[in-house]
Amino acid sequence: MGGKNPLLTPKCVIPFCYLFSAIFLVLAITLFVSISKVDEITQRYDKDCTTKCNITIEPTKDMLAPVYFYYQLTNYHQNHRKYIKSRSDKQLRGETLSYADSSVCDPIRSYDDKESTKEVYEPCGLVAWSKFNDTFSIMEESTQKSVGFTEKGIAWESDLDEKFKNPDPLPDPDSPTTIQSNYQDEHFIVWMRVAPLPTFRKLYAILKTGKLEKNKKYTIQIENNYPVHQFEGTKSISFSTSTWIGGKNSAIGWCYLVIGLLLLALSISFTLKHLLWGRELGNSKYLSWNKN
Amino acid sequence: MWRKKNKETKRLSFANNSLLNERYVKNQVTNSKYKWWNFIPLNLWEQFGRFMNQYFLLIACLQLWTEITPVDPETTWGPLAFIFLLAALKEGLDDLNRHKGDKKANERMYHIIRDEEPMDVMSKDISVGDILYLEENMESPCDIVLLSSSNEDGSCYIQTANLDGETDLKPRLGLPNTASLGTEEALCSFKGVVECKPPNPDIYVFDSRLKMQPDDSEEDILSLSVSQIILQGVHLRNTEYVYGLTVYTGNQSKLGMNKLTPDTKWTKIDKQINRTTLFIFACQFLFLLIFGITGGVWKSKTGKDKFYLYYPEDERWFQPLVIPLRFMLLMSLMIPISLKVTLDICKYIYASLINWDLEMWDDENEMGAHASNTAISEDLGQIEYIFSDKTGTLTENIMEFKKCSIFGKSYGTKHRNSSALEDPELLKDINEQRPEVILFFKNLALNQSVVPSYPETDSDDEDDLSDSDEEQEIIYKASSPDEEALVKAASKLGIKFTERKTDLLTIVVNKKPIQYQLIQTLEFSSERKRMSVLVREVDSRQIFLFTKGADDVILERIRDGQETTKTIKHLERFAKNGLRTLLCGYRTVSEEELEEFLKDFKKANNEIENRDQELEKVFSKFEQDFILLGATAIEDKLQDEVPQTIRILREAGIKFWMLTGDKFSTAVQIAKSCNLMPYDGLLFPIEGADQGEVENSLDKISEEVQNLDKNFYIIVQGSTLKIALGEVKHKLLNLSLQASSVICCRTTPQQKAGVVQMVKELGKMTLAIGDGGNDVTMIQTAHVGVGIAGREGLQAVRASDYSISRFKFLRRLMLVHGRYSYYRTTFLAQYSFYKSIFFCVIQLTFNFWTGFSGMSFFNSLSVMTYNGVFTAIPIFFFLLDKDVSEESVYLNPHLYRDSSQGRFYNKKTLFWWFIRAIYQGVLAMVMLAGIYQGRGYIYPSDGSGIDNQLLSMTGFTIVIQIQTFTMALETKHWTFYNHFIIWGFLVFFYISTIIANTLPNLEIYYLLFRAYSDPIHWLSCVLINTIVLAPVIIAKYWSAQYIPNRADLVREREVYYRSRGLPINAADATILNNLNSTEGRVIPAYNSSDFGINGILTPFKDCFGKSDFEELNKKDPLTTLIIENIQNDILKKKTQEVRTQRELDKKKKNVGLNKSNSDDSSNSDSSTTASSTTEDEDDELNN
Repeated sequence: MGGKNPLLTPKCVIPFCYLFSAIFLVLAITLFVSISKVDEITQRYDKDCTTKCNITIEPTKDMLAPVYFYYQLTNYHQNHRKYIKSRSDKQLRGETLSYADSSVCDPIRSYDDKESTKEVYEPCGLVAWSKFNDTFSIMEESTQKSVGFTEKGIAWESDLDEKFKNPDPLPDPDSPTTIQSNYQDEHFIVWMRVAPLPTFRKLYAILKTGKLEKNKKYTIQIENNYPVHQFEGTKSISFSTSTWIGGKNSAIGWCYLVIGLLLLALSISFTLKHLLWGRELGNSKYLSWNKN
Repeated sequence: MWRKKNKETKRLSFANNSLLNERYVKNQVTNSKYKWWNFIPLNLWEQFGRFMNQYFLLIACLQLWTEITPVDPETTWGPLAFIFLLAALKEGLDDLNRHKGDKKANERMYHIIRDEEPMDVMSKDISVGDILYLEENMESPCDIVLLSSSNEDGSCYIQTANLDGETDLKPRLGLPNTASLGTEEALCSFKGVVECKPPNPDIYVFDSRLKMQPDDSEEDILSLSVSQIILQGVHLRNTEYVYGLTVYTGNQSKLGMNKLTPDTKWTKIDKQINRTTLFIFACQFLFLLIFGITGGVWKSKTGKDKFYLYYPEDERWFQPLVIPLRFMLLMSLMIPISLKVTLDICKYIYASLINWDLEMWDDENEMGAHASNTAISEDLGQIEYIFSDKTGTLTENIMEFKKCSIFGKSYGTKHRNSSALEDPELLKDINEQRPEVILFFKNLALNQSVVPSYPETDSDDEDDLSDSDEEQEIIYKASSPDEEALVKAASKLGIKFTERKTDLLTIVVNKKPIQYQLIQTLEFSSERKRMSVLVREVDSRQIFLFTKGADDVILERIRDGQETTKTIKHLERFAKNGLRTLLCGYRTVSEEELEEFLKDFKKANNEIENRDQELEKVFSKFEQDFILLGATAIEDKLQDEVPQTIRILREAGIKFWMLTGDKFSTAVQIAKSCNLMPYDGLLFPIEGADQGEVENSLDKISEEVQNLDKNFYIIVQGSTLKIALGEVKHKLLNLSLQASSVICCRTTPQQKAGVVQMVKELGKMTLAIGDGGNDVTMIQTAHVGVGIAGREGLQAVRASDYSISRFKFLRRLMLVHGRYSYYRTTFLAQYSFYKSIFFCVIQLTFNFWTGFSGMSFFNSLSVMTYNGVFTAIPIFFFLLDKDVSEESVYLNPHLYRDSSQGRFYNKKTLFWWFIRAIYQGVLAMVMLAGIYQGRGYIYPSDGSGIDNQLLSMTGFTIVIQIQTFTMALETKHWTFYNHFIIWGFLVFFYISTIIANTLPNLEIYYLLFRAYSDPIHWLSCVLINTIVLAPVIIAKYWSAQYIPNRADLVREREVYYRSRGLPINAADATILNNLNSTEGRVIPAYNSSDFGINGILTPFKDCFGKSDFEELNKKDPLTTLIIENIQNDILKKKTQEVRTQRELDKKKKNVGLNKSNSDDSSNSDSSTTASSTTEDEDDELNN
């Protein structure tokens, strides 16, 4: 059978090293340029806020639509095993969940821990039960008029179409077993998409047209309900625009820069080593054992 | 019932009396292991007997506990069930076939006589004591004692192919007393009783007795031996029918008793892999503790403050165990569940590759290599010591009568290659009917166990003889090639053995038939080392005892005062020429002596317990006082390419020892001619008749070799070896290990095995190769047993792990198949560990962000498909990988050291694989977390933050990419299949994820569409792949470039040639081809006083001058090519010149030109010495 035996020879490795380092450096620069075009305003609000408070922001540049508005939590382990597993996707798709099947939602299974299908929480589980319940409304400070942020379209379309369906009949909002009366509530769906890391932000509203103007003050009215102090978490709000690579994510840019530089350094040292103390390939003198 | 409890001490088989035989089992044969109802429990029980299966079962059971399982239980249950099903299916199918075979055998109909009634019964209903009727070509269903046959004398022929694979016909002979029971009526009234040993597995011994009537007295008891027994499974041939009394039935037959399943052999690498598994197991436990405790602390310190985690105030008792157990399950993947199955399948494929290898196909025998043991191919690559038999293994075992010495006159000794058969002296002496010469050849013609047969019709041979001497060639069927050669030689010289009847031998001397009554054959055995026949010349009533055998035994037994010096001198010359020698003698026997002998013989022959020893005593007493007739010398040619093979194996760093039954000088001669002992070494014989002497001898040699810078060799005789293997074993061992080679001559099978055992006990990997029954113990003792399907039957082959048809194929079997198998298995095992650890490291790293809660980063589907599909299947195509080409291994046998010294799998290699797994796992996870950190990441088209599932799938995609590139990086030999599978699986991954994406019920619904449409996804793929793979590539580049190992250098050279459009190693191969014959020459006889002859083999590399390629490299490819061609031409011319020169030299010296090509190509350095030696020798012989 034929075949090829590729070798890692200097002539193949060193050019590749240069090539990759060039690609990485170019990408790094592109990334930094792109990132610099993203505007982001983030402000923590949990410290000085009682039940209700206002926060004022003032963009230093025009922020063109789409402008995304997020709430951001830290030190919040949505990815904790106990938390993440405590939900029933079946129930969220609108099917009835029997008490027996609700064991996946442990410890939030049924009202008063009654062992009956009727008493199973709608929806059950820690994730739904701990839903973030602060609310925000954004206004121009001077006019006290609401800016055109919409809370529609913040959830994934695929979730709205397939993953989250209201049960039939709809849960009674007043029943003690009801945790969320509308499963298709987009804030609910966004919350149910758990974050993989303890610091995360979730989309709250989008400015689809228009802009946040430069040097104009905007007030965010906050209803502060969600407790974070007991576990040393923080809450912030955040406005951000996006480019082709998303938000102000400079980590990836730095990674490309560092790797690009490292590869360049390696390429140069390999070249020097090869030119100064290189080894001739395929020379029979290396097969010295045959001569003994 | 009480009888069953008592151990059977002797078996009695009563004819026509079924009541007395009832206690014995019927002839039901069962080879099957299971019944339909116990298959499932029994098979499961067997499979769960293995530790790893128990471990996986525990893991699978723990996964049923939802509180702790990180992923769905199917991830373990699925593969576990699959693996169990696969194993059970294989077992089940095998057993089904056995059942079918059993049923067929058990339901075959046979005609028997029981209780004086003839009847037809199924095979399974035959019982002990039945008289069985067998027709020609039928297979015997049980062990029977031959009573009578269609021949009047009660003889028949059988073929024992089922038992030992031998296809020659063996005679069996009913006792005269029973041979007369020719009819069914007579047999119906036969009341004989056979008394024999309880069922036993010894197929070569059947010492038992027959009473014609149950109440016969002791004197009338007849003795039975192997020549009366027809064993289960043998076929009746050339005989119309036989009757026999059943003695052993069913699984108690000799064949049945031999069906013990041998212990499974474990290869060295298997054991290493097991140790690694245990190490990983320990690591797993350590991690479990560390993460379990950290998780517990986090929970009580931090976790309880988090309202959303809803930790209750009081815990259940098992709660503290939950987190450690979660980590245990998370890490259970570290030991790949599929490893055992993967390796088993690979081993099976290695064995198939051996079976299919056409390079090991022998046209002459129409046979290829065969791996009977499919599980130990890797061991072929790890051999440190080879123990080889001589006759039939290194040599052809085609014997040719070459020379003889009769009453002090030698024939056929004109020169080395001349044959006595063409010696005019001898022809003249025969024509003159010189009595001693005629007697000598009569001995050869009569003293044998050969069966003559005629190829065509049964026409009267003696008439044809005068007309067409040439055409009517008799075919002699012999079990020993030596005998065949001797009988043939006698026949060529006109003393023709023509017919063997039961007790009548006919020879034709000078065209006159002479008949001899065969009174007794005193058979050959490797202990007796001689064979004698006692015959009476029918016409003259004279009784002769002819003997032939090894020199030492015969010389002990000749009449005092004979002139033997000349014969002994000739004998020594013959032996030094590498010929196999025998001494012949005879004496006449008087009627009184004969009577006494027959009486002693009968008495000894009736013994059941110690028959062999008793017989030997009687024979030994009788075989005395011989008149020495002379000596015969038979040539056994070396097999082709034996010297080259041995040279390559030795260059590969393997110690090659020769263990032979031949005598000292023959062994030394063969060792010299087959490169086992080149001329530059010194030979030290170990001598001594008792322990003290042997010890002295050992000490003396040890002292001498202390400051020796030359190779030295040790030779030891069987008798000395026996002593040396006792108390002073360590000294022998010490010395042997320093020696370049050890030659043991005059050894018994047990001693051969003892030597192998001695080396094996040191932990060295051993391989034994042989072709005959006397090698079986040695083959079974060694780690790897190789049998040569030769002319001495198939006993060795049946006992061996591998069978080949020529010795030279050993080179390919070990250097190519062994080395590749080892290379491939080590990669597969280490890669399997690596990819599993890598995966687990990611899981563990992720838990630094989850509060050490034992969360799985990957979802169930990923976990299952990672180990079960995406990494499990592509690695099979690593089975095609070659680190260097086959030709290169032959040209650089040193490469074998890579595998024999375990360079591919050791602590160092494992360390680097583990480091790689940890580095890559940690870095990949940290990078992912950095890029998808909660603050900065925004999905560009809709502004969503990162989702856990999305990150998990992104991570999984990158993991698959890393593994694809890792496999690509590790593949050294790319074929279409590698490309297809490696890249094909990446494509397959993308296709299957896209399909899975469209299924709304799956967790990953729509996720990957989002991922793939996000530029950050692709940027992180490139980034993370580069970060984890670049150090690997750089390390590989650096080590291949600046600290290259052997394989690296050889691979470079291959590429060098390819880049110039030449076949691999073209130039090297040319050199080798041109000089191959030089290496393979047969070296002329050596001088006994001159063990250190200075004919040094010129290494072929020197012929090409010093590193020519250095210059070549600097020029452009075209010029290089031309120069190479020119140089090749020059080389050819040079070689031609050397040859012509040599031939001229020879002609000048007027030494008889040899026909064999081997001598023509003697090395120029040694040719002068060599030919002059030949000359001297021949002159002496002529005297």
